Amino acid sequence: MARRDAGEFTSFVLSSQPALRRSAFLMCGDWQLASDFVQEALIRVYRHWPRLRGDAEARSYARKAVVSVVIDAKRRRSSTEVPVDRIRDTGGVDDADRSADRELLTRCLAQVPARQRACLVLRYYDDLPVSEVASMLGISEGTVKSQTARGLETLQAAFARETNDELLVSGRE
Amino acid sequence: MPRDLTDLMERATAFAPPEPHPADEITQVAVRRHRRRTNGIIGGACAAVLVVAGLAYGVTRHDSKPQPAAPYKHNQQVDVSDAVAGSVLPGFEREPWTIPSVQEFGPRTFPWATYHDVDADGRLIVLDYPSGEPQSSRRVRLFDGPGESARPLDVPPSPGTNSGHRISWMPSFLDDGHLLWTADTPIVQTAKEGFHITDLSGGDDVFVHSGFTVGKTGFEGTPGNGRPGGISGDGMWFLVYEHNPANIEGAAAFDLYTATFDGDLTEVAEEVADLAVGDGMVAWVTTSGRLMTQSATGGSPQAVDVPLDAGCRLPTQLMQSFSRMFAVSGSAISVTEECGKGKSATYALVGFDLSGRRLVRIAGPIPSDVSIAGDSLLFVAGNDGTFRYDFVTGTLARLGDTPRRGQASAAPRGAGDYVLWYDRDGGHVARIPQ
Repeated sequence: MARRDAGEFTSFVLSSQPALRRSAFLMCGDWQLASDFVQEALIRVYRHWPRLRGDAEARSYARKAVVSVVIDAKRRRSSTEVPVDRIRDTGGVDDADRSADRELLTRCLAQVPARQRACLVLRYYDDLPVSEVASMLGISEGTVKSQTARGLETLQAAFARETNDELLVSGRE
Repeated sequence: MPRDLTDLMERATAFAPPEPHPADEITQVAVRRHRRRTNGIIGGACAAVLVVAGLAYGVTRHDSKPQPAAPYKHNQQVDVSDAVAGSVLPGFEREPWTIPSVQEFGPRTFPWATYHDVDADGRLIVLDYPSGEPQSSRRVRLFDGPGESARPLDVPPSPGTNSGHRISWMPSFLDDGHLLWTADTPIVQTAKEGFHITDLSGGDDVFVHSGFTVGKTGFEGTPGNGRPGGISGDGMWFLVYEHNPANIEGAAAFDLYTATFDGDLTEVAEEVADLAVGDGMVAWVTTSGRLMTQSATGGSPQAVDVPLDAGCRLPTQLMQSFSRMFAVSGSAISVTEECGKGKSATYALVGFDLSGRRLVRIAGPIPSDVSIAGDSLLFVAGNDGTFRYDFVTGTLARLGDTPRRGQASAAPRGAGDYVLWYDRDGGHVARIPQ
């Protein structure tokens, strides 16, 4: 990856874009926005392409860029836009159950602050260890744990209000 | 029935609508965007030994917006005495940092400014001496926010000594989530000359060699180390001393070079008096007083007519470089004009857009430590304090007074909405929405 090779970079985009987009969707709740965020993040990856050593490092950097773009966008919107009641979901045709789950989750996640939401997605969806989430968000491991705990608390409370039921997590420290 | 969060997330993302951005389209956009890449730094640190041309050394970094977020106000005339208090700016919030911003070493040694840099997310780099001795090892810490615990930073190993001083690396934020580490004292061996780029923990260390040889002369391409210069994208820009023009008192003429991180060296211009790099743009003033700009990612140099007042001129280059009176961003340029001569000379900061249309003239004491952060111009005005001018609103605000004589001070720094400055009470960080 010493040089910017457009063909090599396009291959990387093809292989990494779907997973990045799914994570971005969970962080922002809108497939169109998620696509835009991932595009912006991949453009940042291209900027650093010569410095990235290997596919794993490029993927890690791309994921980090997605988180950064989503949080930055959220911060900009929070100071300039009027908030809406819930995050828009413009997903296409899907079976009714999954669609209902998606609606439910996006409504609940919308109540979690952006950085905490990123912690939840990286920990419980992307299955990343605390140390990697810390590196990705540029915060300490202790902050990751506290942000995750706070985010989870908010999410579980929102879920309980919506469903009168519990939202559980398992298998992670 | 209880639900599992991971399972719910997987179901929510199991179906996705078609991707609107094809991979090859993203590559094309990335390539285009890279050509007009915006990422600037002017290298520097606090305790530099002055070498070569004996110029000042300071780090600033700008955010990466390539265009103004809103139209700038043109032809504004303000005086520093008319500035409003920074605290009345809409959305102004002082960050509640409780870490000491000044470290005292006793009456015979200047105090040390511990707040070193702030990034667009409000992170703060703090440098201090835990032993209380300024000759001892410096501690480098990064805080994610007020009240957060310090994050240990792995500091790159020292590249050696200079005149008995152990050279150490000073970190500053890049706008892409990395840290730039420049030497606090010039590295005397050209073969070891360079800088480091790491992640925010000091890991993932990449060393960029920046010692070059032109003819029989070795020189450093590192930003800082006693001269103006900068990094933009994967390239560095720097001046190499050439000669002293006979007709300009106190001035020196430099050759302007750029080099890629891979070491490809290109001479850009000759007879250069001063250089500024920021936000994807490079600007230089020639010894004959012409201002030139060029995109840091390439293209041809463009001459810009500097909109100075009649009878005014740019101060001599040496003075400019010592005081950092010259700054550039992707949207604006700021120079200092000198009107009159000797003790009756007056000074003003003149800001203009890249086509040379004047944005503002700020009259007041001799400005220094000028930088452009996003849509705002930061500077110190003589003994009147630290100021911030907003190109969009046309508002000039005074952030604080001048530090007491001998009090630790540091150039104001801006990144995104955050500004770091020092005044009589020490260091402060505020968030001022742009």
